[in-house]
Amino acid sequence: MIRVEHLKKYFPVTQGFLRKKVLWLKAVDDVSFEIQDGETFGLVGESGSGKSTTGRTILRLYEPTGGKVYFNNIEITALSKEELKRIRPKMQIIYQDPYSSLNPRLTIFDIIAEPLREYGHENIEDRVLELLEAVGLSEEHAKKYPDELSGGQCQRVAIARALALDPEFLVLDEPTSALDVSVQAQVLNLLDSLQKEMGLTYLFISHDLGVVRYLADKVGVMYLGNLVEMGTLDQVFDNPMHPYTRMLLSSIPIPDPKARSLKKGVVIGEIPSPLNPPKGCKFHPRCPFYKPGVCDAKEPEMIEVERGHLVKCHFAGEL
Amino acid sequence: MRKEEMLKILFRNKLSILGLSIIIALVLIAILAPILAPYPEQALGEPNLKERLQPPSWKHPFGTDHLGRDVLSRVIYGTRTSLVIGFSVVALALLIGVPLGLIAGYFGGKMDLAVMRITDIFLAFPPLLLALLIATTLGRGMVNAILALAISWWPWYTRLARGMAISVKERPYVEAAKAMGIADWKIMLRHILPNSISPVIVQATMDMGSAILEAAALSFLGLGVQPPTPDWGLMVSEGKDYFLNYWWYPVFPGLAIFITVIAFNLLGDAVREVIDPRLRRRFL
Amino acid sequence: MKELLQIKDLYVNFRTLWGIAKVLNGVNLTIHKGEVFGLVGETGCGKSVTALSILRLLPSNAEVSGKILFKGENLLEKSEEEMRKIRGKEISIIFQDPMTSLNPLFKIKDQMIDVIMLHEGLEKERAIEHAKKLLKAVGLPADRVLNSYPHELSGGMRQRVMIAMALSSNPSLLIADEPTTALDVTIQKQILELILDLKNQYNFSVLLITHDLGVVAEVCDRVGVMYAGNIVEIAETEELFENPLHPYTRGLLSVVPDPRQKKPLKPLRGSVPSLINPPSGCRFHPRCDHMRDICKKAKPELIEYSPGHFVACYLYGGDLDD
Repeated sequence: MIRVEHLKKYFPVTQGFLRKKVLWLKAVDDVSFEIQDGETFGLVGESGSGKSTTGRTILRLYEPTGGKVYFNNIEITALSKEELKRIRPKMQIIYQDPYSSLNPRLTIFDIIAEPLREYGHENIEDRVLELLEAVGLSEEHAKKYPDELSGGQCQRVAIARALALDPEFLVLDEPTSALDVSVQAQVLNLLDSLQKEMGLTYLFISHDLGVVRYLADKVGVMYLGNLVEMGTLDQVFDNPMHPYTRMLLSSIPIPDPKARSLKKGVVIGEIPSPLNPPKGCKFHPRCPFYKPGVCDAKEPEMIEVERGHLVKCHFAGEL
Repeated sequence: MRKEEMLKILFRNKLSILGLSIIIALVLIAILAPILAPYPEQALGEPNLKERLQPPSWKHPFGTDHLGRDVLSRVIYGTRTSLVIGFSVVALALLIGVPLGLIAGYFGGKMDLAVMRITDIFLAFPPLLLALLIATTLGRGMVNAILALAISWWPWYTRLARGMAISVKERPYVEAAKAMGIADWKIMLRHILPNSISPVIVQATMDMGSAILEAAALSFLGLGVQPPTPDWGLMVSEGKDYFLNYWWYPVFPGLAIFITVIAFNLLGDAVREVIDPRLRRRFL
Repeated sequence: MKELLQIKDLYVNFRTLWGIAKVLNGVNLTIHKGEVFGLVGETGCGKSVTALSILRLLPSNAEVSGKILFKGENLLEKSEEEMRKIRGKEISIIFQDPMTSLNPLFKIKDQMIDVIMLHEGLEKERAIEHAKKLLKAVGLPADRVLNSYPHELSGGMRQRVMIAMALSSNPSLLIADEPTTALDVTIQKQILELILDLKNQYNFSVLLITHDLGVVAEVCDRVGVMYAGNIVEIAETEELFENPLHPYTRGLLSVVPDPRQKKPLKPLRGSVPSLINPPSGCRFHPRCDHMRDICKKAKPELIEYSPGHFVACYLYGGDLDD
């Protein structure tokens, strides 16, 4: 359904009074992956990894600097503004902060009705009620304003709005990060059942690997604008090959005191500024297996170490 | 937000109530001027030379002016002039300023650059000086004074609206609207405008007072409202020569200006409290 | 083990525009010397208010009653002058966002030295020495950091600076209010390890406030679970995870996604209640599958169900009808 080829998104960084461009911030740097019909692709990474930018660039909310994105074999990156508008209903996005993704001055009804009106749908009232029901809300919520609802309810409204135009593909950008765990579970279950009922395809962006394990089928791990490892859920979580993936996995607090990680000091250093990333493999200054002359000299290729399991490391499969 | 909450916040502060009451009183006075004024015909300019420059008395509580006209009646009728001027100036400035600011902020780029350079030029002049310049060019009179003040005023609203639009357009709900393919003008009208307008409304409320003050200044300089129209600024101007011996003549219209400006400022503060979401969520 | 801090029947109400919010509804807990006590709960459960009450830093619209005994003395009866000496010297606090506690206009050096000179009464030269020692203890390059402004440091480094400042006068209790919530997981791991290391080295107690049960499982010795202004359960960490008693604790544990395996999530019904008009009796009763009549009538007391394991629920006794 979605094919991303060598996607790049650079932001100019300007300085001083004359707004001179001094640097490029390479938020997404040569990222390629595919998402199959009805599948959930989890994109994980820490802040500055470029995972959110990737999601927005795929939807052309940001114009890509380079590379191609295909949606059902249509090259989205080559569409004109009018053509893009025709395809927009098929691809929607859900945001992290449920409050700021809803216009505070509109009622829930108007929020969900907006896309329906834009595309000239009929029976808007019935459709809005149907959508509210689909996300577990009821008619009484329709007259309210966002600040009269809880965070979880607002996120349901955002989901209803995204579903209004019968999309096929949803970008979920940290959809539960701002919610409490009990509410998070409700929203995750909702997303899961909607996917099954409507045959949706998800790009699920998250920093929380527990949540990704719950919802995703395949996983991509990003670090400083690069995809460093990609594979099925089990391949990446149970047999991580990239040193960064391993570091990330051993950093996650596990909700089980018996599994208290004995290994200390597995995390080395901090994420460098994406403005000035390290040469060669961007992870080399933090890597416990760093080999001078190799890792800091050449950027590694993405290597397929087993079927469907790709790793961007000079020593993939050897560590 | 629910209406009860708005009222609750509004009535929490005694000064807000005071400001609001004064404004309501002024509006009522303006509407009911023919009934309230003891000498409506004098208020509109008919001289009464038998009773020139009388001190305050039961017959003329605010005294009379150099043509024997009842100052109270003229102050009451002056409310009409002042409110009309204040409202027109601000409304006109909003009408020009806000759309330009929203367009500049939302689209950015060259559009933004052009609009902002124009406002820069206007803002480089002291507002009263600019208004003086325009009033001199357009000629004397109330309508021209209103135009002159509005022209010197709109850039402030443009700046304010632009700043708000820039911050609002980064909100996810605007991006969500774009992702749904909603047309730009609808995004501006439905999402940007309602969420940018609050500080502009606060500013506009406070500006009513300042506009009345500046209109009074233009009248004082002879460029605004022309006699015999009842106008506070004009009355102060005419009365200043009599101040030493006949204090009531300039003092009462001056006091009216003072109270009106303060009332609008109080109301502006109150409106800010009501519509600022940060103040709303303060306790939670 | 000896008690360092005991909170007894702590009630906190906030006067708000919409009525009185009953934010803490009789909180009881004890923190022992040298332990890491985790206070866990969802947004609005009162965990941060509990922390701020200990330091008497609540806003002026709060009404507080109860007892907070620190080394046997009731903090709620101290004068503002006495509290100032306790804050930062005996009890330190670090927050989620270090930027709110650091002044962006001054170098780290100036801010740290001010605090050290104030609390320790050291002269400037000695204070700088002390600051350097502290920064090294939290794993920072002391000389570079001292001459930096807050914005020149990363989030993780800023939190380390805050920890260094909190430790400057060797407190006996460190309150950490969501100290790693704003940080990436790899940095979170480093900061949590650092807090544990320093705790063992300097021998203070930690009150760790968090919403993350993973963090609790990794670092806490004992845990208190809060719901809508009440402590509903207290136990040693392993006991709590293995043998949760309160229906809310059980619900909470069943909704935490586990990165090790995919498991079904069984969410709790409903959502957190309003504290202005909270449910009567046990505040959890509208969401509870085991609700009985008594639950609506009276608030269940925290009872010791098994040694060291406290729970406030009628399922485990305290029911007058039984």
